[in-house]
Amino acid sequence: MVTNTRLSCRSARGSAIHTSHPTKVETRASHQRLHHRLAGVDRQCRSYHDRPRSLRRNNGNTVVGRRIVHLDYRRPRTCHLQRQDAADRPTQSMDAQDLVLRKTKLPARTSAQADMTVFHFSSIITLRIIMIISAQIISAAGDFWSVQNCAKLLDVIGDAQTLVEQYPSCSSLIDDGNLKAVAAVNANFGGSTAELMSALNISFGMAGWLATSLHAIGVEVYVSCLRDVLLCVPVLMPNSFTLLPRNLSVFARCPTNGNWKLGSRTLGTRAWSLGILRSRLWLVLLRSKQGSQVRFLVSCLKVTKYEYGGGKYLFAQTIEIPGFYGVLFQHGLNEQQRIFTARNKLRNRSTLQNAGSVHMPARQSPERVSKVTKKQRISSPNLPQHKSNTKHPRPA
Amino acid sequence: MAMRLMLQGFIFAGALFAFTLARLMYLNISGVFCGPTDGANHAAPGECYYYQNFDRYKIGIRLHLYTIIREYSHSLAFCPFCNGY
Repeated sequence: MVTNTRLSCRSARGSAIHTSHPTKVETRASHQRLHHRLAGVDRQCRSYHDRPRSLRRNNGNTVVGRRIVHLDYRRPRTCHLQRQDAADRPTQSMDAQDLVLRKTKLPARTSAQADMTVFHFSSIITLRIIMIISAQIISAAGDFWSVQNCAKLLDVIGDAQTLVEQYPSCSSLIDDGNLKAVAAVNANFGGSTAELMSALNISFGMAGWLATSLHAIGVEVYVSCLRDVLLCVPVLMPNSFTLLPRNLSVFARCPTNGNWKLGSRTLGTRAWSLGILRSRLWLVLLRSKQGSQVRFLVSCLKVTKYEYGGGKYLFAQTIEIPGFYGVLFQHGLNEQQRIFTARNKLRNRSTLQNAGSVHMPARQSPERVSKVTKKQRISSPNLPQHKSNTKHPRPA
Repeated sequence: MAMRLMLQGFIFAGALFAFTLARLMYLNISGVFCGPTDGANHAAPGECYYYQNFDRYKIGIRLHLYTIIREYSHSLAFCPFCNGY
């Protein structure tokens, strides 16, 4: 979205696609098309007709899909923010990006690792599998022995006479009461109970280490496939409605008091179904100031790039299981900068202040963030393409 | 992708869930875990010598076995509707 390509929600067939005809573009976001009075008169005031019931009534073709909802956010607010842009508020002046996609500098595991640690608990199951397999292997080898306590052997066998017959060195336990008597027991998985015990005891330690390391490595491999995506959703109006894909709610983090907090639902928001399809969309009521941004950190699996309708997008698949679908993001940071460069040749330079505002991960101080973003914003349009590529490696 | 994630949720969550359910009966230590029954539903051979004769192992195996209750709730972490736990 972004972009020199304008987007429209309507194709000839009435379904939602992106087109590149700037003159035909509607100036309202897809969800704001529902708020006719609001978009026409004053976008900042909510009227009686903007209550959520109107969304539920009119949710036919207008709220077309999760992709379009995000993509069309920018246009009305772009105009608004250009008017009120202030240089000292870099984070609030988000121009074309309703959604700024960045691969954050936080390690990818941060948001998902808390959920993935449960995999470690399953290592006891793997342990048993490995233990049984290896016990059978060393039984097939046949020449594995372990030293067992004779008191333990007596407890297993249960008969002193049999014990002494099978393991003559245990006679000191029976005769003299020597509790320290030991006997070498052959490891045989298919043999007697004592031999089975020997086989299991031999292989248990190895199986424990192997299972633990297998699960630890497996979780890390899986988590390393995740990408944390910093999703910046502008708040259009005070207490405005923002449509978010439902799967944002599970692994999303919403910053509260400057800290990232992991919430099963986004903190400070109320979410309920739009009535379209409960699995498709959440209607999130953001109790925030207008112009502020709500940032979500989303764990995504398999971020793929593709082009569609003249624009380049990222399709980030999140890892929630039911209602599973991806979120369509704009292409990465470099792509944004390049697009801004192209666009700013057409427009005046003041839009540069808005363009390409970079949102840093939460762990950095806001002062430093604003400096960096300002620098990047000023310098980026003049950079050649290859230079900006080397400077900011492309995410995903 | 969706199907793969769903499968892995069922597999991992199901394995953990079934494991915890199967181990719940071991909470009855004298009856089942170290009981006289034959078969695989039992402690490993020879272990009960320690579990029944020494106090430190009696306490230890109880602490170990009671963790299955917590692990049961951990198996719900894979349930997306349960919000983790």
